[in-house]
Amino acid sequence: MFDALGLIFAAAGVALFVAGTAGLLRFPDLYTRLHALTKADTLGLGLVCVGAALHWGDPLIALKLGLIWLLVMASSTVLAHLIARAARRDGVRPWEAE
Amino acid sequence: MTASALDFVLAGGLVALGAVLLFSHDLFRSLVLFVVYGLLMAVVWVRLGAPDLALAEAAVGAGVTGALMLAAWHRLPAAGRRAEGVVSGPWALLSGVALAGVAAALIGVLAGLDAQREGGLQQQVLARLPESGVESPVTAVLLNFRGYDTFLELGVLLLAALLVRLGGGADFGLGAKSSSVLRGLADWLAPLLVLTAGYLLWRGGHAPGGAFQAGALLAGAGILLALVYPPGADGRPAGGPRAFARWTQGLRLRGLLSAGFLVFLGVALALLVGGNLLQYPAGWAGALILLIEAAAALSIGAALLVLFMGVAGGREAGAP
Repeated sequence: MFDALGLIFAAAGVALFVAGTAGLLRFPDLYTRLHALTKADTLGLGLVCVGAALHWGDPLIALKLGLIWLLVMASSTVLAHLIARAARRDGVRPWEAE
Repeated sequence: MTASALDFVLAGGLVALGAVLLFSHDLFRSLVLFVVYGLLMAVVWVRLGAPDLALAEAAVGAGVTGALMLAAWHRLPAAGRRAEGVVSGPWALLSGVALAGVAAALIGVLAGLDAQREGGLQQQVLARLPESGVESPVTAVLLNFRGYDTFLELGVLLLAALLVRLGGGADFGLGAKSSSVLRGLADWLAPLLVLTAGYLLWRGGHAPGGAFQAGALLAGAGILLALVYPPGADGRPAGGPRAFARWTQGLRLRGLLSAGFLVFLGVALALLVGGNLLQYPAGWAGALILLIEAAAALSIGAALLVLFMGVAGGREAGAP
């Protein structure tokens, strides 16, 4: 039961990562690419962590996975902010539809 | 351990990444790929059942080395940021394949030799493990059975850091680029890194971990704080109220830098009275190893930090 639920969560996470990667490759400029990437990083990893926690069924492992999720979320959001800020200061213009 | 599809993907990915980063003309791209390579390598070490190496690879190979190379890249003039003279084409491919063949043959021969020797060195280490004072075989080899290797390594690291200190300043020029969001992250990430370093150090006695991994994490905390609280023009921290940040910037690390080497040397000299180099007296091995490792972790952290500061500091890119 928990295993099947875990698999669903992990699959949803992987789907988000795939979508994020597609966005990273296909979106027109740096800002939109960051937008695609951070969604996959935060929600995708969170779903994979929930899936893994359900799979192991151990509160201690779940706690560690939660910590990993929080740390990655904190660092990846700050990194996205730093990259976008540096790009804006370097004069990279946001993309506009023709 | 049986190989799974994941292992083949990892091995193939490593080779492909290595090829792309070596043949790339853009140094920045090579650099980023090198960090990715280190992270992938860490996963490979986990799959090979070597978590100690995985930790070291992730912390030193990908983390600190990546920061060092980025700092070096930052100081390159724009013209130097392109890798000139990179060989590509059929000859490069051919020589690469030939080299890989030679390496594979050598590994095969070595593996054959190891299989002939019954049980290899692993059996000997495990047989003497109870005498070593620690429960982790890796720590037993590094700090007891072959302690002099680690001792000399600390000496080499100390020499490298001293040389960098001779040449490098601590003038960053990063102050204006520091972000308050990054500062917010660093303020709670740095203590967490120090805490984790202490945990890894303590854990090294009975499980994967130890002085090198702990030292790399300490250096990571120091680098983060140095980036967030850069020293001002007069060499004092511009905006960092934190004592830790000030400590990392003053480069007044002389004591810490040499602590590991000196403590190791002191223990070695004290034990020399008993007759043999670094032969710990029975019952004292565990405590002495922990003492040496604690000092070594501080020194390794300080040395890696000094290496980074030496490269990151000094003149801006493009200056003569």
